[in-house]
Amino acid sequence: MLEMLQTPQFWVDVFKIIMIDLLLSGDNAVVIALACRNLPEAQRRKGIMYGVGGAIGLRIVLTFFAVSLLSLPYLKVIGALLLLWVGIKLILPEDEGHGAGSIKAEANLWGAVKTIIIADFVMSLDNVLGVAAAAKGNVWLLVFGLLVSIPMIAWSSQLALKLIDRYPFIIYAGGALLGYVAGEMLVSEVLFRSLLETHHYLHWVVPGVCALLVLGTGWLIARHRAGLVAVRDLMHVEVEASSQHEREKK
Amino acid sequence: MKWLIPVDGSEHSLHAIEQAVTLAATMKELPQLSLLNVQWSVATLNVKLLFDQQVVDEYQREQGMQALQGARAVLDAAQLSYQYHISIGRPADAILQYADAQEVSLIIMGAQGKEGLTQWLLGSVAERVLRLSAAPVMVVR
Repeated sequence: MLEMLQTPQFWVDVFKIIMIDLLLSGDNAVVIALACRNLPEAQRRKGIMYGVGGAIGLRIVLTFFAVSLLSLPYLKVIGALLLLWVGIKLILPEDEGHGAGSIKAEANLWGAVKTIIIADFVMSLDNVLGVAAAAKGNVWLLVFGLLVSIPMIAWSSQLALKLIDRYPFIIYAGGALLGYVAGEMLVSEVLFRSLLETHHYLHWVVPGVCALLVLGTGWLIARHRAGLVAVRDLMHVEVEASSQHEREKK
Repeated sequence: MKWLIPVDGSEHSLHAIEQAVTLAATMKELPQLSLLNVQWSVATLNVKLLFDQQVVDEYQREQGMQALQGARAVLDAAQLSYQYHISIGRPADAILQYADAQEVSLIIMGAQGKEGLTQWLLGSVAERVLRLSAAPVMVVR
């Protein structure tokens, strides 16, 4: 373990994992808050606590599940393709429209916790896959990746959102990173071992090409979509001094 | 006179509102006071996939009302008329846009928001407003 800490490769991997966690679990806390909105005040804190606990537990299970699945032949290829897609999705500007929005804010505690777990299952997959790919089977790195994602689930600062808003290039760097990690996963697939032993340069060419692929595809699709509405009005109310009478304009 | 007082629920924004009340009392004609709270958009891909726009909007409105609470109490206590407004977006940009659209004659705001780490990483809202605003800006310490 101590020797591992001294190699630069280890610290590069640590950096990759922090980036992936930051980019892919930034909105977890918001989802938990939304799911607990309709709970009575007394239960809300409990709901958030159980939700965070459940989300963390689920993530641990999914991570180890993903790692054992990825050791099977062919599955690394599938994992790599999924990761490429996650990277492209990250770069794409957000559509204004909402999806089906099928999940309701539940009014009872267990309903809310169930909602959080289902939501977290959907959200964790990207993150778990990314971290598993970046950790390359190193258990310490996997555990580290899990530990880093925990405060991001629990703590709703939306730091990633704000950072991306301020420094949009982060999103491109993140997309390229996911592409690169997908490429690394691809070259570690056992099926290609003999090919890679004869053509050693593929170890860095494939990840590089994958990173460019994500950037290129993301850029191409993004170009066809309109820009975001930067500022949106939510509500406007006028308050008269005399009667404290409020009327809503819109 | 139209005064805009951006509010984020922090101590500094309360100072700003108190300062505005004090100043307003010295004016010959009472200025129109507008409170503005800006919420960062939380509608990311996952959130949109999982929740209705309506649920997200309600949540953000609630957060906004919470941030406005302290400032509204000060104005209610001073028995002043005012309007309040919540919008979604990047705070400095939303403030500037609102000031522009409403042809505000003065922006009164706190020097610091409540976001410690984020502010350190991103720069302060007051600085950006000060730099880019067409209307006069008063920063309260």
